[in-house]
Amino acid sequence: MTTTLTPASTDAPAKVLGGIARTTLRLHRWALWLWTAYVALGTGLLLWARGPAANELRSLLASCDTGTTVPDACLSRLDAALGSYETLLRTGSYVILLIPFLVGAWAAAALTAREMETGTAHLAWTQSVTPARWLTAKLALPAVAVTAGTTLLLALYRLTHIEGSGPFEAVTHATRSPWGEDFFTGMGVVMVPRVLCGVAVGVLLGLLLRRTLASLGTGLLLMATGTASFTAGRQHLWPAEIRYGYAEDESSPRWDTVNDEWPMDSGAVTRSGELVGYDYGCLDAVHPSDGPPGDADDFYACLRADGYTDVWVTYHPEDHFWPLQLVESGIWLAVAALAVFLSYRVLRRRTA
Amino acid sequence: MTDIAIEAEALGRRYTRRLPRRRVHWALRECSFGLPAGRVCAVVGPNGAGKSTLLSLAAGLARPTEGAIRVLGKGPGEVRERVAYVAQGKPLHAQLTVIDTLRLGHALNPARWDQATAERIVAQGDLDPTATVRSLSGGQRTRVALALALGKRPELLLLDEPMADLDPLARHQLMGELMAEAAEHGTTVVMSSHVIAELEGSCDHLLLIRRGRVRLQGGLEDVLASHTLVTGPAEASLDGHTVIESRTTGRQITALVRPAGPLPEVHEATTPTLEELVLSYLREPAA
Repeated sequence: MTTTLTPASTDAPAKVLGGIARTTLRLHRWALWLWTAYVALGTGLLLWARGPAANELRSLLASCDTGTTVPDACLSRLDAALGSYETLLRTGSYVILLIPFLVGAWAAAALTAREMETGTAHLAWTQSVTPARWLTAKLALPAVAVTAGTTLLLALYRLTHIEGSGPFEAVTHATRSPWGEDFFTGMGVVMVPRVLCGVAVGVLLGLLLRRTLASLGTGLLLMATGTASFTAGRQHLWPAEIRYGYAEDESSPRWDTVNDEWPMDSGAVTRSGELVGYDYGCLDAVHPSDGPPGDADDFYACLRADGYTDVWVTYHPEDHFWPLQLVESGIWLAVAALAVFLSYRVLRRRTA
Repeated sequence: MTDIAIEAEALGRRYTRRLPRRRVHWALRECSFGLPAGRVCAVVGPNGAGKSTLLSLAAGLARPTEGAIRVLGKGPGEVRERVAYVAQGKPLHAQLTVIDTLRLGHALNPARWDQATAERIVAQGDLDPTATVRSLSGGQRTRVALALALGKRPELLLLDEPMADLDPLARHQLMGELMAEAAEHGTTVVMSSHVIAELEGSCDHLLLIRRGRVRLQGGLEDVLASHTLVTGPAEASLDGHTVIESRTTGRQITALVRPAGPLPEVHEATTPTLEELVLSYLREPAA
């Protein structure tokens, strides 16, 4: 009885790592192509906005601005140019906003679930690679691909936005809040952790559910729930500022927030110092629809008559943008890390 | 170098289903056995006996709930490189071509891969190497799965119902190729099956499992020699001998026994065939 034993070469581990990476790329070749096409689509839209569309808008702004009245023809062309510029930018932001759902659904369905369902995961685990290495390839390669693509789109969106915000501010972004979902995700960094979380959670779901459709549905549901939760509640991730007092000289005569501040809540201060809600009754009294408006003294007199001493507002100033970005990113990353940890654990407990 | 390819000690594997109602099922329980290296070993038993569970434990795809299993003298997870496994469903990536599938085998087993062997197995099957796995017939898929397993040059080859979806001719041919490869390289083959015909003439060691427990094990010749198929009058006593199974037809009784000594003169005694032996054990009423 003889047993043939091929001597293991010294560089075997490195070769195995290269082999599992090549295999993973080969198996998900179509996904990689689709992702490349998707990123190319987004890049195209944003480059078009930044190049031809912005140039046309710029030249029209210059030619229509004759100092006196603007001719109607020029105005309508300006409107059209503005419309196409904004549509391009908005579509670009939709392309970015969709990424976590697409990536999450794909990761949940194709990375591990399908392999568990068809048994090809077992095929991989009975070659010369350990299940842990197989999992590492399944996590790391998609993570690199989606991070690269998403970062590229985010950088382009940010660049386009910053370039446009100066010259076109008067016509485009004057009424735009930086706290909207498109601006917040497009101008910040949360999208990358969000997409990474989609990959990690998708991989875990595939290992746990072992069925493609069930995993896909659950992955999509979880990503949607997570995104919606942050959209609805991200203001609580960082303590809001509070400001007291009625400012008379604002364009809108309220004690509300200005420009790029994010209003949270407002109300009045009672004599005992308590913050309570308020129905704005004194605003109407001081600013009647007919007749001349009163001043700050009139306003405070009215307040005192109602039993209050002052008014307050809570809000996020513009410089809370990055703290809020970082806290949200941290939460997505923590969930991703937990999913990665659990995936390795599930695999280690299941296989020898 | 160990002479035992797979050694199990009080091996047990429990499956727990949580939904819709919690159900605990022992696929294997208190299994102790040793399968010798360099042999072709058949793991036989009815459907659901625990054969697949046993093989996946040996392949390191599952962990035992209790007891221990050692493969080539080590834990199953430590010998992945030296063991090949073909699962019952012959899982392969449907979107890959046959060539790509072999390339995958090379990429995942860089230190051991034997492209010539893998290509030979594929070539003998008269199939188009550029066809995708999706387009292959069941028999062709089996062939590709075997090529992938043998290309790894395993010391131990675990096959779960390898020939189940083949017609008798293809089964005969593929089995012949498999046995030739195994003999050439001294590969230990452990093969589960409920088709006894595919084992006859190829296996030389038997492990019979029923309801998750080992009922019979040993070298095929020893096992056959220690059993006797007796035919005789129904009233004659077989007391003192272990009766595995008996059937009464009119006044005649046919029984498979493990004689403890000389049998009564009234009986006609013959050595059972493998099929008769296995069937008797499978029919044997639950103790």
